[in-house]
Amino acid sequence: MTVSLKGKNAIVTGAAVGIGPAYAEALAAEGVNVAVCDIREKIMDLPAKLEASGVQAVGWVADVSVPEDVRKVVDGTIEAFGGIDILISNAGKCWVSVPDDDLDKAIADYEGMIGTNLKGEFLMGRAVIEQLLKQARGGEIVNVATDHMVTCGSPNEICPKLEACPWADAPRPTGGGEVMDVYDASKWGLNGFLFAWAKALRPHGIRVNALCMGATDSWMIRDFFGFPQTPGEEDEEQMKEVATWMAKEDTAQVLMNLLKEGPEGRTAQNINLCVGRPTKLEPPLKNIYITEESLNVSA
Amino acid sequence: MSALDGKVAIVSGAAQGLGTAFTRALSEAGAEVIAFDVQDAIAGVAESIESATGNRVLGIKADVSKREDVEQVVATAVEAFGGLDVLINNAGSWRRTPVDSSWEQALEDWHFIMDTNLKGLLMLSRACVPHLQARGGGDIVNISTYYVLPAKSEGTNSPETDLYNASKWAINGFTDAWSKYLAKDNIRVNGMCMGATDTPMLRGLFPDGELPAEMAGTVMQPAQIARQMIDLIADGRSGQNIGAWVGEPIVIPPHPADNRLVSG
Repeated sequence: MTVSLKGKNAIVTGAAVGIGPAYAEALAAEGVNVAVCDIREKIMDLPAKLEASGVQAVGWVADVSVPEDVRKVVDGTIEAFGGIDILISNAGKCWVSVPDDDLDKAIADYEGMIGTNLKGEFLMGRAVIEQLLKQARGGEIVNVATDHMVTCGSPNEICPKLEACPWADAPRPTGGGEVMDVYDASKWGLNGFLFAWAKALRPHGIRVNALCMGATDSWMIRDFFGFPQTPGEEDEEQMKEVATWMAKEDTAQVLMNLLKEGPEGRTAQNINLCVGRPTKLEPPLKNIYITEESLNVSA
Repeated sequence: MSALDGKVAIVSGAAQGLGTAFTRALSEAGAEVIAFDVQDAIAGVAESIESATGNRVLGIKADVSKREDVEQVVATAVEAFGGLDVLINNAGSWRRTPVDSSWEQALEDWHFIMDTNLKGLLMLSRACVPHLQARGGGDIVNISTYYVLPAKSEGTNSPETDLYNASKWAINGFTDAWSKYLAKDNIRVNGMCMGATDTPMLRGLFPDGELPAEMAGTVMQPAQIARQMIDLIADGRSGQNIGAWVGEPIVIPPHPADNRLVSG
């Protein structure tokens, strides 16, 4: 049982390069009006492309870590489309950080990565939630996280419920990074929003889920590894690595399938998109951090 | 000879509750402790622990969310005691942050929670790590909460505290990455994830600070958690979240089997 997305209104953050535009294009292809933003000027080219699918589209240069910019995007979307149904909090930053970095770098890392990845998703989420509650017609919030925090567990804890995971006996494709502490913290932190929002918003028919992305061919991962941004320009070693990554069109399809579950679909779920597994929407997993019953509470 | 004779420890948020209990336990175990807090009470707390244990406890009024304060605390520790072996990242802020609160309130809440619980923890740790490395090893303990554990955390991620929850979940990223990166330096990093413990933070949830009758009899005591912390440091493991649940023995669990983690 799936629902049509046609005529709904969505916001996609971080949509200028990488996976963001793939999400925006997939939504437009489903008939969704799409508002996009990015810190890059290039974002202003995207709305015209999206409109070719016969939907409305609008864009802003905006930094999701800046409250005024978030208001500009959310208020602007409401003005342009008359409402919001779907938020895809995709904007993210990623670079190397290690425990013996100095304080100058640590603070810059905090402002950059926690600012965009955690504060940005908080601000966008809260601004959109206010509108969703006002509209009283449900809604969808999807945060974008990382497979460093998938349910089979890092930090390695005693987890008697691991049998709930169909991949319990498979090797983890990644643990957390050794040189990505601030990034990993920003993404682990999203669990706080995932579970709190899913519980608080369930009575309002609003679903909250997160995509725990493994390596996907994108601007960010090419930047992280110092690979050429243009596919085909890699050297032989790089080519082998790139071949293991997921395709952004496939991960966008997973997102569409998630959204099409509609109000009766899963909520409070981290959806695992791990390299080495099929890039598809797996059935909902038994949640190991909260219970189904605990979702039926109201804020 | 006590377990931590000659060791130097820093405890953040030490003027009350768990922070005071951690300071007392470290001091009883023989460590010299730099105990800091934003509250004026820190001076008296430090004095009373020092006079009880006979080991030096330096109380400093300082705010973990302020860079200058963090730098000053760490510099004072190294100057006064010659180095650093143990960091207890305990300072934390808590408040209800309902999803339907106003935009202005949300912005203020972000800073109220995150500047201490996440930015402060990051800054203090970054300032301490070079000193732990210089000693050839040490321990970092991050104080978290039990609902980041899959076991027995059912239902307890509160819908009313999204920012507090996020700040504690985020610590998992630090505990995991630091334990891996700092293994070469013989520095162990673990999280402690406890349920209801009788602290001013918990009492603050209830009118007049009185615990409800059903909770008063079962709630864990800070001294019990502090003993668990001392045991954790003695145990030598790294990269783990150690749980403590109301109604269960407060102990260090057996070492788990390496659960299929492949570092990427």
